[in-house]
Amino acid sequence: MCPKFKQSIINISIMIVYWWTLSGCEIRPKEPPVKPNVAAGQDLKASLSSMNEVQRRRSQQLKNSLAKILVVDKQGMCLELGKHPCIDQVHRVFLGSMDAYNASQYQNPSSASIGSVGALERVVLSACIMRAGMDLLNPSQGVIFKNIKTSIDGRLVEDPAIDESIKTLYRRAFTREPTSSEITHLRNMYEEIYKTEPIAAGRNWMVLSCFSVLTSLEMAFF
Amino acid sequence: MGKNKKRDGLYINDRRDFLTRAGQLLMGSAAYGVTPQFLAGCTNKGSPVSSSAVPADGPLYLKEGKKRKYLFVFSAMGGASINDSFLAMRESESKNYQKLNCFPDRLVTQGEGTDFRAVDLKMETVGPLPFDIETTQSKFLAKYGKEIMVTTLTGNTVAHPVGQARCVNGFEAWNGRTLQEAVAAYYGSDLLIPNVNMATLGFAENGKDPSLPRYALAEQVANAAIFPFGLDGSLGIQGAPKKSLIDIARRVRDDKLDQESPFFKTFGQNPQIREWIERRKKLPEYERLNLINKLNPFANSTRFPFTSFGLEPNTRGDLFRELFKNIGPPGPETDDLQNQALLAYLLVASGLTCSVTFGLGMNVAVDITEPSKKRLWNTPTGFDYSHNAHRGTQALLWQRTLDTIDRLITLLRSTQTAPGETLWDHSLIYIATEFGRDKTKEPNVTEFTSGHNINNGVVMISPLVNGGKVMGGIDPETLLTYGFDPESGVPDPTRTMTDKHIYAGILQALGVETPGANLPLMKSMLKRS
Repeated sequence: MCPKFKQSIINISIMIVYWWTLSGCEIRPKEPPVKPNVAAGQDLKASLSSMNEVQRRRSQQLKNSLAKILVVDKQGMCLELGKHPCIDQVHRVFLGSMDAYNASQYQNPSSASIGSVGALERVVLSACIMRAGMDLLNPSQGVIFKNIKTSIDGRLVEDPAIDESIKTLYRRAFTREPTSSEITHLRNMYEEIYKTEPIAAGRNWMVLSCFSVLTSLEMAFF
Repeated sequence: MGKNKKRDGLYINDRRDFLTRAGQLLMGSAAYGVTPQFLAGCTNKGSPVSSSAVPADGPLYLKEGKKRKYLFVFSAMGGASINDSFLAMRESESKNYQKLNCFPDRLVTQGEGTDFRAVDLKMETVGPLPFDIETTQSKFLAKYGKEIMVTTLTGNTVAHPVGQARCVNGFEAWNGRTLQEAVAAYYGSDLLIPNVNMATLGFAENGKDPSLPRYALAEQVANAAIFPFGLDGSLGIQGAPKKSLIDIARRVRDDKLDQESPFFKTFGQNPQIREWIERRKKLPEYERLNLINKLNPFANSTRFPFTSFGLEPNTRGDLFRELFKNIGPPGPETDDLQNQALLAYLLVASGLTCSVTFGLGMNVAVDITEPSKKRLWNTPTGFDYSHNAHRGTQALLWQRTLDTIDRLITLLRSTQTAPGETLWDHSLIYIATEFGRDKTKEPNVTEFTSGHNINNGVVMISPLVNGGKVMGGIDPETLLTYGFDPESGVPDPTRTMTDKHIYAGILQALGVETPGANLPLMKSMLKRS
């Protein structure tokens, strides 16, 4: 076969492949990114996932997440008996991580165990106590509970800062706005707290709203 | 109970009474040598317990009236050789003694009225590790010989985790259900934490039986000392709101925030999330029982100032510390094996648990309480350090194993379940190990190395087994063990016993029904009435 003819055949073949490939690509105008309907107070639509796969937030992820959300010290956010780091030492395995050197555990546990829920609650509660304390001391610089006002006997003073705190908490924790019902539930929780223990109800609400959101399933898993 | 005071759910006369009784059994527990020498000076006086001793807490009987039984699995990590303990061979008994793992005659004693041997020796090193060893196996044998049973076994693997799993599931003898799961399923339906596992690797593996009730699955506990902290969500945290307020927050979270969250609506059926929700429901129950304090036997200290944080460790802690000298929060003076053994007792005596697994870990542990006399508690890799130094490793870890078990039995014997009965009367301790070690050595050496050998024997200690007996036998010219007739117990050099036989014998000794399992009837392993 003539070399020129052979080269022509090859070139035509390449062009055909190009044409065939490009013809499959439909040029569409670029769609704007979908904006989720996440305005604060509006309820999100959700349906059961067909994949249904979640991961547990293990100890190091939990430590990093809490430190970022609450702007608290990674080591100091929870110390058992004021001395022993909760996440890296005391509750490490319960929080889903391995501990080869201290406990001969060479793999992350495949599932939660008897102390996992308690360990998460202790860590989050300690961190929330720390955050609420700092925000109460300096409300104008508050990270979560900014400009929250409390009465002289420790009650919350009705103020837009309450809703804004809840929104800030959800934004920082889950990068989403709280739904209207989530805001309502946390507001109603204050009423219950006050009825049970009026003294320092505002401070307790701050700690426990933080606690209830950051020990929720949405925080424990991702 | 007359003058008895209730403390942490258990009754006790007083400290002096307890110690007097325990002391009768212990006969001194001064430490010397390489391990806490609880065995030193102990005598064969039997249980010191009278009807006024320490009654156990919790539900001790099933609804049908059948008495609950308790299984303790001690994980002898790395290959505990039966030739270095109860089936030790004297040099004078074997023509091949120079090539075999035989002991000088003077080191081996015969247990009175039993088939067993004991090795009492002293060594100055464990291979390259410069630690003294002194073993007193004969003390243990004198004390418990009539309740020890050794069953010969020829396993089927020399892979550690595989062998470990098989020695507790009988090589999947019953749908892959482990011994611990079988006991928990049978005796633990009304217990809060029926099955607790503090071991690692293959000993900590769950079984594979899909028909096992969920409550019988093992709760894994990585660190016995700090485990109780995870059993309460807020106690001991400074500045924590009251429990009643915490409960409000939990209710809002569980019933409202979670239920309505887009995350839950999307992933709420995920098995991990369902399990988490179930575990949440149990936490208030642990709190109600005050387990964070009840399971904490440690002393208040500068490093662990429990009382400054509103915690109140078990008020009988000082009594336990008399028996377990080296318990404590994590630290250089703490022997975690003792922590595990004591937690095993507390779980059972508190009526929480009927199956507990604990034992040796893989990590080296050195007691530095006395800097001038450091003691080796655990070799790196446990019994498997026999690859480097067989005799020293086996001596050290058999001593440690028996010493820890001795302390546990002492507590079980001191805990009353009914007039004239103690927890020990209903308990079985199984020293589980994945395989044995090579039988051979170089001539004229006192230390040598060994590989894995599937031929071995395993130890059970219990009033429920055919005590004082070796089931099977040992060939003095090879040190290989051989089997026995399951019905009559007659030794049979032509047969070997399997994991399945051991599995069946243990469950039958504990009275666990095994419908559909087709397990061999191991009548010879049961206590003769």
